[in-house]
Amino acid sequence: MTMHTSSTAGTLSSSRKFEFRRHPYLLAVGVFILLSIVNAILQPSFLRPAVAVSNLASFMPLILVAVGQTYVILASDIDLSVGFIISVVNVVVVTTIEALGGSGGAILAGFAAGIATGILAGLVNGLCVAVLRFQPIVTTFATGIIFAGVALWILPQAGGQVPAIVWRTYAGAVAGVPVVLWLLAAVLVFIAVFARTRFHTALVAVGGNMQAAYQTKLPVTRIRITSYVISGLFAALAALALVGETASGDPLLGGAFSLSSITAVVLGGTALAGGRGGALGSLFGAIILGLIANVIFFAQLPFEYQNLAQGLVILLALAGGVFVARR
Amino acid sequence: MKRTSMFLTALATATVMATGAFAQTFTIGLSNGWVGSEWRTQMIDEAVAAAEAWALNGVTVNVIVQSANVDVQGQIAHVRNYINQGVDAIIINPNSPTAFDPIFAQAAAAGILTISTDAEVSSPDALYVGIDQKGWAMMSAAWLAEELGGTGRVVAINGIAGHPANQMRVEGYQEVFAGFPGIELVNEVNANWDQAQGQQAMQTILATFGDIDGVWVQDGMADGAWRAIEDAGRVGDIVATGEIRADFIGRWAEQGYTTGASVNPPGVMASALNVAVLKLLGTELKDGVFEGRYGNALYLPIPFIDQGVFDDVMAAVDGMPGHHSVSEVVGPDAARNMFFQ
Amino acid sequence: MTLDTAISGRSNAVKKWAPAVGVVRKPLFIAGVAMMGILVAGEIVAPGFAAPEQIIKMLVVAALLGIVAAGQNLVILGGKEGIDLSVGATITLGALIAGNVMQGQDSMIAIALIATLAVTFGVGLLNGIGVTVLRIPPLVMTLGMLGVLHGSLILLTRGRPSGNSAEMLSNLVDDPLIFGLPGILIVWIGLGILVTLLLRRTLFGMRIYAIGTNETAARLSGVPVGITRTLLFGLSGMFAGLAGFFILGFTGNVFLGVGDQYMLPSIIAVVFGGTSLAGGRGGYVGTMAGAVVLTLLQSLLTTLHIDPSGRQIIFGATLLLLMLFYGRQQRLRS
Repeated sequence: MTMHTSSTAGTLSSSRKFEFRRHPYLLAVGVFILLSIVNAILQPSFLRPAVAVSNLASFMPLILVAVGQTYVILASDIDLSVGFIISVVNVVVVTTIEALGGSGGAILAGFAAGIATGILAGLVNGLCVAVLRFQPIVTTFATGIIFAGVALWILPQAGGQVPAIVWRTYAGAVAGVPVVLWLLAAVLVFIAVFARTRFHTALVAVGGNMQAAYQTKLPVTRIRITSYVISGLFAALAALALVGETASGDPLLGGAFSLSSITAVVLGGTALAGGRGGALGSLFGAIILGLIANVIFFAQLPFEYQNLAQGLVILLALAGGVFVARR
Repeated sequence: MKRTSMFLTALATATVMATGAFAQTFTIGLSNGWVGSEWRTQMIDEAVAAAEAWALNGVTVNVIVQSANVDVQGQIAHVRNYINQGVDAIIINPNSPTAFDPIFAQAAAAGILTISTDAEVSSPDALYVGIDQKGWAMMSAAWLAEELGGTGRVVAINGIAGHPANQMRVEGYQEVFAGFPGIELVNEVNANWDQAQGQQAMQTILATFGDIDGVWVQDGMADGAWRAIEDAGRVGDIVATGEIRADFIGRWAEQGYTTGASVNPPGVMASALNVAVLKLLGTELKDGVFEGRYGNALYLPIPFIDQGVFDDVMAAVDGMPGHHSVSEVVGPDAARNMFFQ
Repeated sequence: MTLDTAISGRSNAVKKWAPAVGVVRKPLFIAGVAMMGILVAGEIVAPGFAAPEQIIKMLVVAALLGIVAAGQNLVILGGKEGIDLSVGATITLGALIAGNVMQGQDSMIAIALIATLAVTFGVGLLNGIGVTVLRIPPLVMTLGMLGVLHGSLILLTRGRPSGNSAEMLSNLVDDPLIFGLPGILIVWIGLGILVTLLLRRTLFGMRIYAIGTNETAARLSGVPVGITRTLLFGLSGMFAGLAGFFILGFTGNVFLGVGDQYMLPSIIAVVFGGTSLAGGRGGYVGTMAGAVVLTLLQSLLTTLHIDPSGRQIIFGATLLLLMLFYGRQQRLRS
């Protein structure tokens, strides 16, 4: 495991540091509030419910995949293949729905097939990393390429029609509450409940010191495989959200999510070394990334400067996230 | 004299006021999702210039530009932001042909005209103004086949696998070559529109398929491929398609390549903008003018550069920087004739 | 875990075969076998693949990757999860500076090289400072820097890179110089010798291994950990810049994104060379072999007439297969 030298030159008082350790997401929440204020100033319509909901709808895929990535990183591993899991699940869902005729039952079957694919992909990753003991970075890069190839094989070019009811539902409301808000609530509930399980505690222990965890008879291998399966599952859910947003299959969609999800996780205060942090921070981290893009648009910077501005802000935010996660 | 000058002044003022009464202002949002190539930058520049040129016709066209490396979601966010800002039209070079259907439906519901360019989109709520990518490929493939006299071994070097423009082009050349029984397509490789990868791929192919006669290759990869051909000393006996940048045209002349290039002009976005303004001004489109697999395409003519027109092309790019691409813009009058009643 | 300690716990019968197994496990041996395998397979599938001229051409491409991988190798050796994700953009920056300073003139080659190396070294130092002073993990710091570099490149070029390679540089990369080998291969071999000497025979090299193996112990024995690690990142940037310089010679002009394809392969080459991603173990010669294996694999897939999806799946599967022999991590012990 890595060894950090103790920080005696900390700039925070010890009580404030304690706060961050217990609640690593606080910084992310703070940045989120700050960015929302800036966004509201630059874009007056930002706080209108319809606009807020449509923003949330486009942030949802990254939120989902970042949450899944958190659990892998907590275990001190990493998953670079999530973007390509999204690609392959996306094409599986769309082709299955089309093949089965596009009825309500076909849609559900397609969704189920997609989730199964995500779980299977996570299982492959978990087996390679935890059982065969391959190095996570190179391995998930390699499996990512395989998933991308499979996606391309299933659907050689973008297409496939998904029934309009899918995207209308995603953009619509149930019982007066927008569907994406229901999804957000479900994710929040999951994060809260899951954090209190024994599995989660074991996960954090594995990430903190894998050798020690093994010696206390924790089933380390099984825990690591499970974390990859969860990551695959959430990547599949993210793909479903994308289908809701784009209503089509595209084998090239998704690649960028791998690095973005890692960025969101770090922004949220989870340590890359494992053992510290949580998915709530990653959720806010994902929203922050989306808000940064919006702010830069509405600040009306000349377009040559936009990528650079985005990169600088993200670097700053990353530094902040790391600072919070520090022991 | 005084009365004449007063009359003239009154006439001038009346004219200005009358024109002022008809002066219209539109806001158009441009969205480009990839900045990796000079072609895209030239595309934006020519579109902005076309917008400014409308002032001569008394129409003010304000342009907002979003040009950054974004994934599909990021580009959907562009469109969403434009909708929230309340633009009159959106011109987009989309990163996916199908992912924008829902957001374009929302744009249409908000009364915004959406036109895609360079890549067709499946949305029934959007138009496409640009070249036919399949036809683009068929043109240069036909040139290649004829130049080879209908027989020979041919290799293709393609862009990103799965990318819709690439797939259409592949369909195009495969269809053409199928019509020439003497042409054998021995391999198809992807070099992802990267010049260096095109060069590497060509090197490998030359070594392992030593007796090929022709190469079908697209865009910047053609430059790389031709460098590899030069390197192998086979400029004299290989025929390959080329590309449209000024520096390639210069080497074409210098080295005496046997090449030809169909032109995908960066000016397509400018042409799309002109069509957009005409439509915003209320001009009706002709009946039955739409083509393409999605039924929403207004195809622009595709220029072709071969030895015949080469001297004109050389003159046109004279003095231009190396990265400048041969371009063509369909101006308002030409667009009116082609597509409108 | 060394082979010796693992074997000593087993039976004597196994001990008898230990030396042979020891050779087989060595990364260079595996790389050598992989190279032979790919060349043979390639020659069978597409005669001409293993012809001397083609091998040389593939080695030239491998050299470009190998130069980037040298910097990546140093950063990884330094431990503390060292990695540099910004090398791709740094390569493009290097090529851009070189091309713009050179503008096609032979006389400007030396100045272009110095300018390129200086700027990219500086960029690397920024990474190093972020890692050592601000104590941001390398993956995060270089990931953030990657975004900043991409944005800067777009701004600098406004989407339109300019700059051209001088004739002499292009010749250096492409044309045979000594023994029929192009200049770049000579440069790469020389670089290999230099880096290996640096690692094995200099104080600096010893320090690298020290901080990579046990940072606390190194610090206690007086090794200037922060400065050493910062220099490693600086060198990584510099090697990326050098690669960009030669890539300019290879392609003749610059285009945005020219370096992106080298980022992850540079990491894989280091892993296939036997260097552990945890740091402290490994060397550059193995990485050179890793770069060659990767390049050969890419070329083999090019010659096979199969679907692009098939190529991707085979590439990923081959990487996983090779991982069986390299980069397996420690078994946990109770």
